[in-house]
Amino acid sequence: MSDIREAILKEGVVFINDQCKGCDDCVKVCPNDAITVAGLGTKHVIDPEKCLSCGQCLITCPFARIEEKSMLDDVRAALAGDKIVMVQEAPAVRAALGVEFGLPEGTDTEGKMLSAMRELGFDKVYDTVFGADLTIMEEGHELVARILKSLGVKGYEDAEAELPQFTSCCPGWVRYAELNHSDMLAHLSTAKSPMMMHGAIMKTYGAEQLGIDPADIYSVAVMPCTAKKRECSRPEFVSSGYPDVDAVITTRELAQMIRDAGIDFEMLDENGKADSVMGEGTGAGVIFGNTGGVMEAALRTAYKALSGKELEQIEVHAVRGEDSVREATVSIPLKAEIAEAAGVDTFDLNVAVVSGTANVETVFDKIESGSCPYHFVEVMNCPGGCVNGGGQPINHTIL
Amino acid sequence: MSHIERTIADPKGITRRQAIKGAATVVVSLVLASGVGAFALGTYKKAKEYVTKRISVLYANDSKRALRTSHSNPEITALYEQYLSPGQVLPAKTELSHRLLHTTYGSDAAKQIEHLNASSVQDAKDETELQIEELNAAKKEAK
Amino acid sequence: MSEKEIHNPVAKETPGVDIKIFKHHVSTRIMHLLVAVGFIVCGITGILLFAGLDIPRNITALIHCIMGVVFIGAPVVYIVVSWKSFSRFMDTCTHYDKDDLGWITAPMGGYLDPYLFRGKPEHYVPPQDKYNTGQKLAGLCLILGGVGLAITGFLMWANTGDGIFGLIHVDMGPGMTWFIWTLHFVACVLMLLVFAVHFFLGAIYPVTNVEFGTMFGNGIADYAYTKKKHGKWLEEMELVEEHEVSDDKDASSK
Repeated sequence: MSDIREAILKEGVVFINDQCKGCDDCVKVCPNDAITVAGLGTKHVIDPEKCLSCGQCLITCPFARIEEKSMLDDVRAALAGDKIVMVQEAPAVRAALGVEFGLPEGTDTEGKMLSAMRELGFDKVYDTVFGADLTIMEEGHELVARILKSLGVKGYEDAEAELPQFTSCCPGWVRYAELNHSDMLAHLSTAKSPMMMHGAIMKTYGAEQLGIDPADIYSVAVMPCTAKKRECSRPEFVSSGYPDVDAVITTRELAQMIRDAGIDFEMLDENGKADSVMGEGTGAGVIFGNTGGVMEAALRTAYKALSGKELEQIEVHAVRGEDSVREATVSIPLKAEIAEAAGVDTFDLNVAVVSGTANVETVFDKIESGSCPYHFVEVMNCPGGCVNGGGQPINHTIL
Repeated sequence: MSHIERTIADPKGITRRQAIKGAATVVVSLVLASGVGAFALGTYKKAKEYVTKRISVLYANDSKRALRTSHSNPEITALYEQYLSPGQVLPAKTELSHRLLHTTYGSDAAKQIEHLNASSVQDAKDETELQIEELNAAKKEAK
Repeated sequence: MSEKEIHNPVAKETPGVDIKIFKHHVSTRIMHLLVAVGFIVCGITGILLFAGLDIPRNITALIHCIMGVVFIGAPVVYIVVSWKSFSRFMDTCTHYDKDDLGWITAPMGGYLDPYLFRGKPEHYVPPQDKYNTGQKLAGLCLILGGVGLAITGFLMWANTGDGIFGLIHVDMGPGMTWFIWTLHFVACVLMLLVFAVHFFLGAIYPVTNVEFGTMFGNGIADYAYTKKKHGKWLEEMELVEEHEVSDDKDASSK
């Protein structure tokens, strides 16, 4: 394991430099009270024991005094070396990358982003949207298994755990749960995040398909997130026999690479495409970057698995929005064999979407008081979802 | 010789012009201060609008795609059929799925590392093949 | 034998009569003292905090904020208590005519003579009001800077985690925090520049440094000095008092 990964595990990803002015804006956005408050005007320090590495403080700091540990040098070394460098880009990256190059907010830069990856010299350009789809397959069917267990369907007695099931693709939220609710971890979906799934698949299935040795693959992920750096450094993510993801860079660091390489973002081909076998993604995977997106994608697939039919209204507007906690109920007509085994015709799936980790406490309060109506809860650490992640371009516009 | 000390000063009263200017200064200062204050506190919501814009990018990207559900992704189906659960699409079932796509949290992570180090991807593939064979046999029996 | 008469006639210079000018009222002098102390302490603590030195920042910031309240609070109380003096001051500061142009083209009231025009005859400076052109402009800068420092300082303090002693909280957002902190800095630089000139001319520069004793002492200025530096003001006061004298005479004759 490289030094940077060890350092990140020990010290966290984000740190406040000693030029801190003590304005307290970072303290207000920290979801886990990890930033020390020693009184008016004092310089802040992040407690790595409590820090989720989510980077909300970093994108908030008005004076840019919060920095992140970077794996950029490793990535550059890999690109210059002999290894086959594979890259995946999270859905949220394309929603904001243009901001770094003067494009207005709200510009979709998917094609340009993929073209840029090729210009930068990545050997294989994949798309995390594929990993997101894979996550939905695993996580959605895990949810289905938990629901069938709760309905008393035979063959599901040994399904993993009880309801509600929480999403597990947000590393900030996962760490929050590990630090504060270690007795509730069985409620977390065991499914890895899209990034880690994609990384593991690249070095196994991908290596097999391409006929190469997984040892020769260097896997890079471009993420809207600083916590992903910590996630990829976790020692258990070696399921392929190698680190599933070797390095994570943020959207900002990708923009830095593009600038340093002298690439004119405006001139990049707008119709860039990802490489096949692990590059195709669906709309369900794309919306992972929004709060409520994982929920919506999972509902589309869980509905199919439980009812045998596609959702009539594919867009589940009830889970969209930006409120910190949103609730919805989706009535699912069960397909014949499930209905027979469960003894009911329809299942009312109660879901909740939490935007901003600290708001999950309302859900935990309900679980503890035994009045939790939810079957599935999505939690995203950053308000608004990954599009507003700690690795995203900083927007401090006031007008 | 007598020495007289005399002191002169501003008049005690003020003219109307002076009063108006004093009042105007106070009013202008208050307007200026409350203007800055209102501006400072009034833009908070506006400053968060970029999040909404980024969210709409991804929803728009979703709505213009032909494929909008994860289970309809041909590359995902191929991955299951060729690798994770040979011959069929069985998410979250096979040993290979569990090894590559699932994890554990908190204090269980150590056990996960132990498990991963004790076996190889090939072991998981072998076990997956056995699982699939068993499943196929069970299906035949049911028929 | 000596007698002291305030607000009394006899203005014109008379042999054997020692005339003093009552320039600053006691409330003005107390306000000025508080503002001066507040400004200097805020300036020092502010620069220390800005420099990011390894100092006990909490106590420094607390002193900065409390002295900021003194710095802003003293003039506010003064405006209420000495409304007339304040209005007269604002009238003076906002009144400009050809004599002010003359002061600027002198140049700068002749204050540059010892430095740029050494050995040459002194420039003619038109008679000035209670405050000369430079002082009037500085006064306006201080009002503007003070208002700026007050509102931005208030927002900065209320925007902290605990707010103002846990009583007043605001949430500005990072972009606005930067903007308000920057405004505070700009206002501070403006104030420091004005303060530097003000302190130099009032306390150090020969001739005018007698003003220091006037403001921090009994408020009495010297007649000859006033006649030279604030001739217009003196003339106005003398006119008013002559008028008052004649009024008094009329009243007594009736």
